[in-house]
Order: sequence, then C-alpha cells, then structure tokens
Amino acid sequence: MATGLTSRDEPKTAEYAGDEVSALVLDPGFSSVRAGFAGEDTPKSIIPSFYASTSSGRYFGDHVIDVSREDVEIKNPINRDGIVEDWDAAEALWKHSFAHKLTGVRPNKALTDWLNDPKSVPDLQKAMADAEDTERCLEEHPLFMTEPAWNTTKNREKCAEIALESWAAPAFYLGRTGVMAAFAAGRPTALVIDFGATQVSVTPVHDGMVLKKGVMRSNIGGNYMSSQIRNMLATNEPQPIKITPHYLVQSKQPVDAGQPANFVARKFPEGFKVPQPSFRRYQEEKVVLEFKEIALQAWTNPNTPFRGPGEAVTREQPYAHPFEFPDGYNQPFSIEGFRLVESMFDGQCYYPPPAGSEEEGALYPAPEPQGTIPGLVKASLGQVDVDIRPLLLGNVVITGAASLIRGLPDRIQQELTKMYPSARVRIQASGMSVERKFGSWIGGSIVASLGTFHQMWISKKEYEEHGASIVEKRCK
Amino acid sequence: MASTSDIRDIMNLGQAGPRQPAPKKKRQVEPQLRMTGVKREVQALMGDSVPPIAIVEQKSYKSRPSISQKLFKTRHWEERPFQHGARTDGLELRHWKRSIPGSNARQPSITNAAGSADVEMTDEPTTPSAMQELRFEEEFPSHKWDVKVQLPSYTDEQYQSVLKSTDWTKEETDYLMNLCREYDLRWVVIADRYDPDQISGATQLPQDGEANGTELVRPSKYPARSMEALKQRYYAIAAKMLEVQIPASNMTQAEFQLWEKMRNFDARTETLRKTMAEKLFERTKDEAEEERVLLEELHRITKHEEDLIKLRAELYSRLEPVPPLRRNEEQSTAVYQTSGGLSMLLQSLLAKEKRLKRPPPPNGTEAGTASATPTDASKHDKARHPNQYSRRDTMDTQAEESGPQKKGSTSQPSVRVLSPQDEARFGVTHPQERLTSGVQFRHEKINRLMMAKSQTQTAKIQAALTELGIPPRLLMPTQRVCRVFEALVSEINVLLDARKVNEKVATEIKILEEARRIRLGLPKEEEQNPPPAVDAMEVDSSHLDENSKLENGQNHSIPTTKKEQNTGSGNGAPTVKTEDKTEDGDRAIQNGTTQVDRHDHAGGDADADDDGDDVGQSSSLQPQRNERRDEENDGPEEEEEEEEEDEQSGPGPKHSTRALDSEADSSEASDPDDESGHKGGEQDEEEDEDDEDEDEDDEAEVQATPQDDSDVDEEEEEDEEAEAEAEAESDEDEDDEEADGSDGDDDAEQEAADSEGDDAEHAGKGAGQDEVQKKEHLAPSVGPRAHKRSASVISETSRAGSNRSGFGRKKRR
Repeated sequence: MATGLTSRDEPKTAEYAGDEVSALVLDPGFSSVRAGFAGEDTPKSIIPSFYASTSSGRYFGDHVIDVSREDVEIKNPINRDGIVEDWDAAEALWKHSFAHKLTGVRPNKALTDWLNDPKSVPDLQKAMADAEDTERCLEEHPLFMTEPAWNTTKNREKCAEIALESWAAPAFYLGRTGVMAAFAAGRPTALVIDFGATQVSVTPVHDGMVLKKGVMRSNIGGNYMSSQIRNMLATNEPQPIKITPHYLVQSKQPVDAGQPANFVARKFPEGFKVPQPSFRRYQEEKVVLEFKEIALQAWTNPNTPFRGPGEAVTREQPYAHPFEFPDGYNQPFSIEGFRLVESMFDGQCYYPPPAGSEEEGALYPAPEPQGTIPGLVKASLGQVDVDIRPLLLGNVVITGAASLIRGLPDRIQQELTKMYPSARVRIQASGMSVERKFGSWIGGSIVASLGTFHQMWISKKEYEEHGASIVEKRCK
Repeated sequence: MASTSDIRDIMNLGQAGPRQPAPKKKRQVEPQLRMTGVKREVQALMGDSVPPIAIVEQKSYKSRPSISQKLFKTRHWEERPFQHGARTDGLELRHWKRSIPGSNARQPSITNAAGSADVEMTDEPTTPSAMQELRFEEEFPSHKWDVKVQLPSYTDEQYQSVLKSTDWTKEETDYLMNLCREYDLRWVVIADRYDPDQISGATQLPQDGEANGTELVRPSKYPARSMEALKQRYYAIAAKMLEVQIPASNMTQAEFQLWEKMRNFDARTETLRKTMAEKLFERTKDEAEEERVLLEELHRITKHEEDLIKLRAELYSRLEPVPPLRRNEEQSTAVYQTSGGLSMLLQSLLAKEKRLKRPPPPNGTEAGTASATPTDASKHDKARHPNQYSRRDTMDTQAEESGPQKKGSTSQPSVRVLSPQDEARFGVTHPQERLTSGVQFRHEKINRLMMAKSQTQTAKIQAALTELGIPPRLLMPTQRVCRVFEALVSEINVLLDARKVNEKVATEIKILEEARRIRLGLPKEEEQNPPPAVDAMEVDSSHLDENSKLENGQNHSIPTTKKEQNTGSGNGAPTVKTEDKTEDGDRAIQNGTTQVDRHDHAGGDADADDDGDDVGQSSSLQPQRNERRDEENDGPEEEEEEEEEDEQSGPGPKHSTRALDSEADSSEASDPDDESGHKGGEQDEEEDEDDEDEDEDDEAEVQATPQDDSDVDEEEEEDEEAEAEAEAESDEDEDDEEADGSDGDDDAEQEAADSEGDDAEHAGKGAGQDEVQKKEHLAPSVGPRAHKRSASVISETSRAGSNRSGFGRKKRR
C-alpha cells in the first residue's frame, strides 16, 4: 500500500544528512535539567532541578543553591512520580537552563541602538527592563522537550503552552524519554529500562512509538537507593552513621576506620537563620551520591544467588570499599554495597528504615516482586504482543544515571536470560557514563536535527488553530 | 657489518660497478663534515649514508593563499528560512545553507557586507560578470519521505450496504480505521492504543488519550478488542472495498493476491498461533535445555547415521573369519608340522595382520613392541619383570643400542617397580600370548576364540554358550572376564573335540563290529546286543578310572588357574564367582556328556611311549605331540638342562615347592595324588611334565585360531631351542619367545605370590564346596603358577647372567 518507497530504497547522500534548525532540546528530570542545541552530542547546560528558595526569590543553578543562605529552602518543582507539580518554578527553572547560557538575552533596541545614543531613548528604564527580559527567549529556536511516558495530558498541554506562548518558540515537540533513549542507542524498537531518580521504568518502544500498555514503573530509582543507603547507615554496625554534610564541617582530623569522627562543626553567626532541613538534606544527598559512586556494586555471579552464599562471599576483604564521610568518619563497606543494589532485584534484601523514621521509610517501601527490575520487565513484556517480545529482548536499552552502578547491565542480562531462556537477550548499555546519563537528551538531539523530523513540529500556527489538544494528536 | 661487497662475495657475484668510487668519495667528504655547532644527529644525516628518501624537487607548490589575491573569496553561508515539504501550515524554519561554489558570483549587492571570515579557495578567477543570484544546495527532499499508507475509505452508504457487521458498530469501525491511518498499520501499536473509551459517537477521536490522565470511570460502551479482532475487521473491510472498487475478475495479479490474503485472514488461527508462540516464549530453562539436548541428539543421530552404518558394516566384516586362512587350516596342518613351515606361516600371518591393521611403525624391528605396550608404566614394568617381550624390547635393545657403556647399568634398570596392587590399579598386564602389531581389542580375541575351524563347530560352541546362558558377545569384556571366557571356550572346544573323536571312534567300532559280524556271519546286533559304542565306552571308563580322575583335574587345571588368578588380583570376586558357577555347571555337563573323551585322552597319556597306538587321538594332535616328545627326549644336554631347571624352576620341583607351600598354608591345598607324584621321583616328575605338556597342547589346540595355533607351536619349539641355546652359550639370552603357558602363569604367579592368603582362602572355599575332585584341580593349578615364578626368575637371572656370568642368578639365590 505504501507507494514509492520500499525499505530497500537507499537514500541519496544528501538525504542522509541532518537538517539543523538550531532547535533546543530540553530534557527535564527530577534530578537535573539538561538543555542544549540539537545536533550536539552532549547537553551544554546541565543544572540541578533543585532550586533554592529564600525570601528574596529563587536561585537556580549548581553553585548558587549550594550556598548556605539564611533560611534557605531547597525545592524541586517535580514530584516523586517525575511529573511537574509547580509550574511556575518549573518554567523559571527550565528557562534558566537555556536562557542563561545558550540563547542569551534577546537583542533589543536598548542594546543595539540606544546604548550609544542615550539621547534617542524614550524610556531607558523600560528599555533596560525589556533588554533583560528573557520572556520571549526562544523566538528563534524550536523547542524539543522530553517527558516521561506516563506524563498527563494536562501537563503536556501545559508544556506546549509554556513553550509556544511564554517562550515564543516557533515550533514545539514533546518526545518521550523512553523513545529518545532508544534512538540514542540507535534502535527504533527496544525495551528501554530507564533508571531515573524517581522511577525505574520499563518502556517497550516499537518503531519509535511507545507501547503505552507496556510501560511499567516502580519507584526504585536513585531516590529509593538514597533512602536505602540512609537506612543502611542508620542501622550500621557497630554504630549508626549520621551524615554530616560538607557545609557543616569546619575542620576535621583523620581518624581510624570505625572510630568516631573528630571534627569541628561549623558555627553560624549570631542571628543567622540556619538553612531549612531541606537544604541539609540536599547536601546530604550529595554525600550519598558519592557513596553510591564508590560503594555500590551489582552481584554478577550467575551461579550463586546473592542472598546466602553471595552474602558470605562478599563479606570478605577484596570486596570492601572504604568510604570516608565529610566529617572524617570512615569505614569499609563490602556486603552493604551489594545488598543495596540487590534490593532492586530482590525485595528481601531491603534495608528497613530505622526506628523513628518509619514515615520517611514508608515513601520507599521494599519493592514487591512485580516492582523489582525483573518483575517490571516481565510485566512489561506481558503487555506487548508476543511476536515482538523476542525483538524487544534482543534490544534492551539501559539508560539513566542511576544505572551507572558497577555490573548492573551484566546483572540484568543474567536475570533476563534466566527468565527467558528461549529468547536471545542483548543488553545495550553504553559504556560511556555521559551517554548513559543523558540518553534521552541525546536521542532528542538526534531526532530534532533530522531533516525528516521537521514535519512533526507543532508550529505556533497549528497551536493557535487547533489549541493545546494538538499535542496529543501530534506527539503520539 | 656486512656490506654489499661481502654479500657479493658470499653469493659469488662480481664486483658491483659503483663500489670502487664510494670509499674515495667518502674520504673526500669526511674532512669537510667536521663542522662545529652541528648536532651529531644532523651530521649523521650528511654522510654517504643518506636516508632512503627520494627527495624530489617540488616545483609546483601551491602558493600561499593570500587574501590580497583576487582568486580567493569567502564561501558564502547564509541562514535561510525554508519550508518543509511535508508541512502544510507554512512553518518557516531557518537553517544555514552554503552557496554552491560555481554559482556564487559574489554579487556585491547581496553578500558584500556579509564578508565573513570563512575563507574559501577556488581555482577559478573571479568573473565579474557572474550570475545575479546565489544558488544553494537543494533543500532536504522531505516530501520524498513523507509516505502515508493508503487505506480503504468508505462512504456511509457503502458501509451500510457492504460493510455492516453484527459485531462492530460504525463508530468502532471508524475509530479503528483512524487508528490504522494514524499508526500506518503498525498493528502492534494500534492494538496498544486501541481504547474503547476513546470512541465517542460518530466523530472519530483518532488518538487515544492518556491512560493515566483521562481515566474514565464509567464502564466502557464498547468492548476491548484483541489485535486479531482488529486485524480481522480491518482486512474484511479492506478486502470488501477492494472488491467494490475493482471486481475480482479485473484485478491484477498483485491485487488479487492481496485480496485473497486479506479474505483468508483467520483470527482464530492467528490467536492459536500466538498462544503457542507465547507458550514457547514462556518456556522455563529446564524445558528449553531439554529441548535443546533432544534436538542436538536428533541432529547428531541423523548426521552420523550413515557413518554409523558404514562403520558397523566394516566392523562386522572384520569380525568375520578370514576365509583363505581357514581353508588352509582345514586342508591340512601337515605343512606346518615342521618348524620351517610354522615360521613361514607365522610370517605370512604377521604380514597379513599388518596389512589388515595399519602400516608398520617406522622403526620396523620394534614395531610389535612399540604398539603392543599399552602404557609407559607397563613398559617399565615389563623391563622389571622378566617377560619374554618386555625383556627383549626394553632391556636388550637398550643394551644393544647403548653398547658397552651401558653394561654396568643393565642389570639394574632404573625403572619404577610397581607393586602388584598398583599393577592391578593401573591395569598393567603382562600379556602371555604373542602380541601382534597394532591395537588389539579384547573383543577380537574373543571372537577369534569363537571362530572354530568350521562353521558347524562354531555353531556348536555358540550352542554350548547359549546353553550356559552366556551371550556370544561379552557385555563387559574386561581382561578378567575375557580370561575366564577364554578358559570356558577352550573347555568347550576340548569337549567338542572329544565328542567328535568319540563319535568317530564309535562309528569305527560300529563298522568294525559290523565287519566282524559280517565276517562271522552273525545276525544283526541290534536285535540281540546293546549298541557297541556304549559298550566300548563302558569298558573304557572302567579301565581308566584312576587316570580319568587325574586327567579330569588336568583338563580343568587351566580354567582353575585362571580363576585363581582372578581371585588373586583382589577385587574380581563377583565375576569369578559367577564364572565358578557356570564352570561347575559346565563341568557337570561335560562329565555327563563326554566322559568318554577324557578317557580316551587319558588312555593316550597313560602310555605316553606308544603315542602312535592311540587311536583316539585326533590326527592333528598326534604329530605335534610326537614332536614334543621327541624334543623332550632329545639329548643328554637337554636332560641336564631339565635337571637344572628342575632344581630351581623345573615343573617338578615347582610343583613340589608350591605344593609344600600350600601344604604349609593350608592342608587342603595339596592332594595325595599330586604329592605322591612329586615325591615319587623322576618318573613322576616326567609324568607331571607330560601332563603339563598335554595341558599346553590342549590349550594350544583349544585356542586354535590359525594364528594362535601356529604361534603356540612355534613358540614351544623355539622356546625349547632357545632355552637350550641359552644354557649352552650364555651370551645369547635373547630367546625370542617363551611359551604362552609359562607366560600366562607368570602373571598368575606374580599375583598369587602376593596374595597367597587369598589363594588359600579360595582353596578352602573350593574345598568346602566341591570335594575331592575340586581339590584335585587345585593342586595342578597351583603348580603352573610356581612354575611361572621360577621361570621368571630364570629368565631374569639368565639375562643378567648372560653378560655377567651368572651374577644375577647367584644374587637371586
């Protein structure tokens, strides 16, 4: 029925080419916002999704929010499902991510003409305000945004509204993170396992389209892991470990492993309103992140299960990773590093929250069997047509910064091979951490720079004609 | 360093032309090179050792690009707005485009101001009269990729008239068709997105909404559909519409095929296929593994089926008797009655064997041994334990090869000595029969045993085996089992031979009787008298009662020996026991059926001097025995020899020592007959020897495949000669072969020596079970073993003594 083209028709040389229309790609997540120009291989602007909120306003950006301001509060516009809740903050945050570094201030008359000729300025105050106004910052750049596959219609329409109306982008498109990650790995059909901060999601992608019924997610992402680490530290033997973030440490003395920390805590001046707990928590998260990078490791022995024999093995010295906390306390961690990761595969390895913080722990309960990684994959595959299951298993894409745990792709390979012995399981996990962290951004960068893609843009005109519902129609 | 001239010298080439001037030049140049201020590395480059780079003067460099020159101008890039070919909304996007080089014509009015730093080099001179407009590369051919599937469309009337379905409403159908259009007939996606809740009235809502966002609580108006149902509906519509548009008769081939295909779509089959595929997909690891193994097995079987058949056929053809040899055998053995004839036969057989098996190994003389020694361990062991072959192969060849300087070390070979237990463990054996070159299978040996001289004989043997319940092809032909089996077959052979002879004699008697009757003119005997054969037999048996007993024992001596060897080796108890039983049964049968034969034999033995008179002897047996006898009584030296042998190793003394030993160990081990025989002096000894000879003969006969037969004969012969020689001139100790019997016994001896206790036990058991007869068997069986030991001692000592004037022997004593 298709006319003209068959898949065997080879495009001519020119037709391969991307067609770069200086589109902006914006990939907002719970942990960070990535922004950059389409066609580049990494996002140019990466800022944390957290922002500092004080009485004087919001502060965005990596270094700014780390300052222990008076009564500062750290917030995140995105909720624990990865869905935007605070649109004001989100809009400001996202704009900051690109307008600050990438697109810059829109040149207006105040800057081009009037600066050298103050006499001709009718109203300098107003003109300068205009000049700094980044309101219509995207007038020259189509905006390509990504969203999780479970984003709501309302949110999608809101995105379109912000992009096309507030930022005045000429065109807009919403791509799904799963699909983009698959494109980044070079597969139109793939089973994408995305380890985000809030969620681990399994997304079956067929021919560049998400199979919605097969999208499965579970909140065993990076935040869950952080919570697990906190639980583990709080129940640590011989003594519970309390994380003292860097900003609270004035000076410290080295101590032997396992010995109490010897440090001088930072004193805030009199009358200084100390930062709110969220600030401290955010700073603690940085220590936890460091811990993740150093100590976490997946158990990859296919013949011995971790629980039982594996635990016995990993108790030994070669598996130990010493870790020093900001206050100087240090201790080797061996079995813990494995068990933490194992809890993503086996709910029995869950570290229960320590007494007194059950409420907090309840946010991240032990994963149910169907909430573990193998459970998610199984559930996801169960929802898609049996004919493409082998195809999906042959193109399992692992992406997301939380997947950068040592040995995790191997482990997933083993699990899937064990689960589906009749299918050939191939894991596609880039060895480069940048590609893993920014998988969906890179996919968006590829897509938005393709000549064939430009017919997909939602133009401003279309938006005005059809209203926000066109997002649903176009971004399938 | 070797220079060119050196090489030329070596290669015998003439002087190269330019060689002469070179040094001169060097001399001239060198002083100049002493420059100061130049680095050594740079100087090194300036000698006559010019680096092998051909420096060609490049005349036509590209000159430095110069902006001042009018040849160069910037390449023009421009951010141009464009419209995508597949868009209808007139969206203008902007992208950077480069002007096509040839076209540029740097129109001042347009691009002068642009004057970017992007510099471009062209060969063409500027043409002032350039074209008026810039040309750019073509836009992306986006329309080309804007491909849509063509879907059938229908009007309301058409739907009402043709497409109506009880199962589908028009709304659903419309929704489905829209989905198909949206997703370009990607059924996986369509089935994923088909959401009954999205169907609203007649107007299509082509997209399903958010599963999460617009979750409607109301029960859906329309049922959910499976992918197969969707497909079926769509194909039905498509087929119908195709038919409506083009009548089937007017369809092209492709259209018709499509139409056919769409009409024949069967959702049920498809669903079934899917469920099966799902089952296959959900297989557990075990199931998958099992299937894989089965498939592999099947593959292997089918692949190797032919090979296997071929292989088996070949094997069978190998196992079948070799006709020509047998015919020879059957024709007559007279040819082989001389030693010359025998050796000829041996040669031919060996040649034949080699040809059959494989080409001889490169070092021809050692062929037999090289291939016959199974392992190094056994080789070493052989070197240690004087066995005919091993001694010859290892020790002597060593001695020969390494000549004089080895002399000192020959007597004490530096090989590891294996204890009998180790031997048993490693499977080290000292084969008693002549080893032919190449690999041998025990099976083959067994089959050779089974192969009698004639088909009928073979059949008889097999019948006997069947009667005993032993399969003709042994299930587990271990060495031990083979040995016992061999013994059994030999006995069967003896019995069969005896029966044959018996029948012959009976017939002769009958004939003679008949003749007598005719001569005497008596009436037919049947009417009055009992059958003569029986008569004769009865007479015989009554005659030879005492002898028969002895004979019996001797006949059985071989099997029993073997049995004991088995037990001696320690762990073969179960097999041996079963064998015991069968043998007992066997014996019973034999006793029942062929007592007569034994008597015949015994008769022959009893008066050893007049062999010729013995009517009962088969023609083949007789001559050999004659020879044997002759040799034994050859001359005075031989008698001396025997005496000497007797002292340490001869059969007689052996018996006695052995008997004494066993007496000491267990009183039952010796039986009066034997003892008396041994103590009785020379005559008895001789008798014993005779008996033994006979045993050997019998064995030889029994084992009578052509090869073995000849082997044995020759061996015996050579053995005798060789021994004689060895004694006479002690230099030549390389007696080629020793008798089979002694060899085998050697084995037994070694084992037995270590496990005398076992023996005794066994003997005791035997005594308990059977009575006197059994004991009778025992004693002779013990004898050969003793013989073996002494034989081994002798051979070793004699070997040692051959070079070292009996040193070894003395030591041994």
